[in-house]
Amino acid sequence: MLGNIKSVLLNLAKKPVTRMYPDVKRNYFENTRGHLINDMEKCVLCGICQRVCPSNCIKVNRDEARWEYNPFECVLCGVCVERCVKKSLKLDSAYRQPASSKYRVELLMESREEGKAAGKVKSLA
Amino acid sequence: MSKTGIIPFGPQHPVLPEPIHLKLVVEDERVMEVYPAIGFVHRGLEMLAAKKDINQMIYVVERICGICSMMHGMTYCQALEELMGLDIPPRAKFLRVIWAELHRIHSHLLWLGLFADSFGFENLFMQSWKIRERIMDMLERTAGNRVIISVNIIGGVRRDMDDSTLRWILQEISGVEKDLSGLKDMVLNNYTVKKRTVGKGVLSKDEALRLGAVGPVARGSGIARDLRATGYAAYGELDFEPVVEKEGDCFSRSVVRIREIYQSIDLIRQAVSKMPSGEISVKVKGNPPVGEVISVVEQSRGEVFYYIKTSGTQYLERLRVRTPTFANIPALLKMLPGCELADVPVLILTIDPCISCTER
Amino acid sequence: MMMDSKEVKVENLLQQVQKYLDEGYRLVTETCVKENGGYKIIYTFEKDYIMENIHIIVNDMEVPSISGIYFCALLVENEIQDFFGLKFGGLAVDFKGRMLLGEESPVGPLASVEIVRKEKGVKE
Repeated sequence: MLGNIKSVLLNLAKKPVTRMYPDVKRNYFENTRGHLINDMEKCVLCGICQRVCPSNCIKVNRDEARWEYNPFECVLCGVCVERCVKKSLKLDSAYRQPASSKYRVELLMESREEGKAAGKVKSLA
Repeated sequence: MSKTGIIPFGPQHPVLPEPIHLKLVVEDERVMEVYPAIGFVHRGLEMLAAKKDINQMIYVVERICGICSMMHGMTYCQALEELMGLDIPPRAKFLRVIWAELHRIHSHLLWLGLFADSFGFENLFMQSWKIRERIMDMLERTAGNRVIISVNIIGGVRRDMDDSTLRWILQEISGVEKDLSGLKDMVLNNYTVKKRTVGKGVLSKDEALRLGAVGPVARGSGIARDLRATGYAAYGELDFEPVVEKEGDCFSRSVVRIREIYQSIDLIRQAVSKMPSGEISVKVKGNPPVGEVISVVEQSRGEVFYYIKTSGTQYLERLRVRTPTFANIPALLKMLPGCELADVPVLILTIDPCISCTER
Repeated sequence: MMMDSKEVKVENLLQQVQKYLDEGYRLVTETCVKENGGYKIIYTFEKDYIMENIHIIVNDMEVPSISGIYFCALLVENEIQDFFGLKFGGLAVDFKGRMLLGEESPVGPLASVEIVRKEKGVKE
């Protein structure tokens, strides 16, 4: 019983271990698998990411030069990043932000000549 | 005159993190018979083996259980490595040991919190989860994810730890040990905890053997059986003794788990000090040959059993997983009759149930 | 470890299992595999970290349950009953193929043959 009282007093004297979340944010670790991003300037739409993905969340449409990704099905294993030939896929260390509705990420390659990748986010029906 | 009746326990119950349903036949306050019902979270992962290739299956088996996910992946990879005759690099083996032991520590701390919660000791619940958070940070920094860390591949591991990370792990693990010393007394020398656990749910050595109990449940009943002694991964090069307690009640199972946390801390220190340098994975070519293989690993809850049958293609013909809780439920069914109704939550939590593991 | 198991005749199964119990073996698990049109049920026993396997080959007959000898076999035998549509005779607790599957589930999903459940009388 005395041990408990000691622990209670010690914890009273200490600072809280929790954070005041929206004001104080924890820094992400360098290696954290936060969310997947694709740099369409490097991507050649080879389709390896689509083949190795365990959850089938990536669709590569070569005819329409489109790379589609469903972030809500992704399990963040990072296999596609390791196997990407052109190193266009990257895992960013920040977690994906919460959303009020489900959406798909669709990236088009057509704008490559203009030197800028166009990103489009389409919400799921 | 005594009254009999049937009380349904679960699938939704404040102490149960996952759904299991028990029909308790009670006479006054005493449980006479128990009928289990599971199947609320069955996902059919064994059948997915026909649709995902062997490399994709790693990420499926890791999702059988969130808490011991790394060890599921490890068992699966070890099975296929043996079938394909791969010799994985020693550094990969040591890295697997470090991650596996980190998982064991965080699993036991999670259990301790839930167990304390089952008899209303909220303070202990928060204290143990506070310590657990340090382990989660270690996993996130080394592997990238907090829980399902996906580090195993057939032929080794995917991530390496550099020297500064290893030093940081040693430093953090010492902090965890220091935090634990206060917690240990709160469990082992506490009047309330002893009142609720000593002499409750006694499982004798013979019964435990006959009912096929595994892991801390078996070791709490005096069976000195820890699969790490068979020396898979790098355990053959590390020095440890299985933790055994004789009484077979709830308290001795708790003691086993608490002592195992210290054992895991010691194993991590040994693994870091003996860490060899070199490659972390070997390249795998082709599909596995036709064959049948069994792989067993000591998880935090006990022995996990994988049976894999390959057909020579990139798909498995049959994957069978027997998880530790599946083996411990019969022991629970024998423990419950004769106990008070108020002790039922404590007894259920004492086997550290993982229902989604059980149903796969 | 690579698996090797020896075949046991269905009628000698209980006798063989009893022998393992008397020698102090622990039942690890049972595994059912589809093989050559029939089913192979592998029984794995363990003592001092050494695993021993025996197996029986069954077609579409009733399999004797070993849950009378090893009580812990009841869960895994019910599971096989669910997934492969086999019948176990003398189960300690028989869930009648409803342990993991529900009323609407397919019958014997892992058996990969179509099994039609016959309705017997009125359901409880």
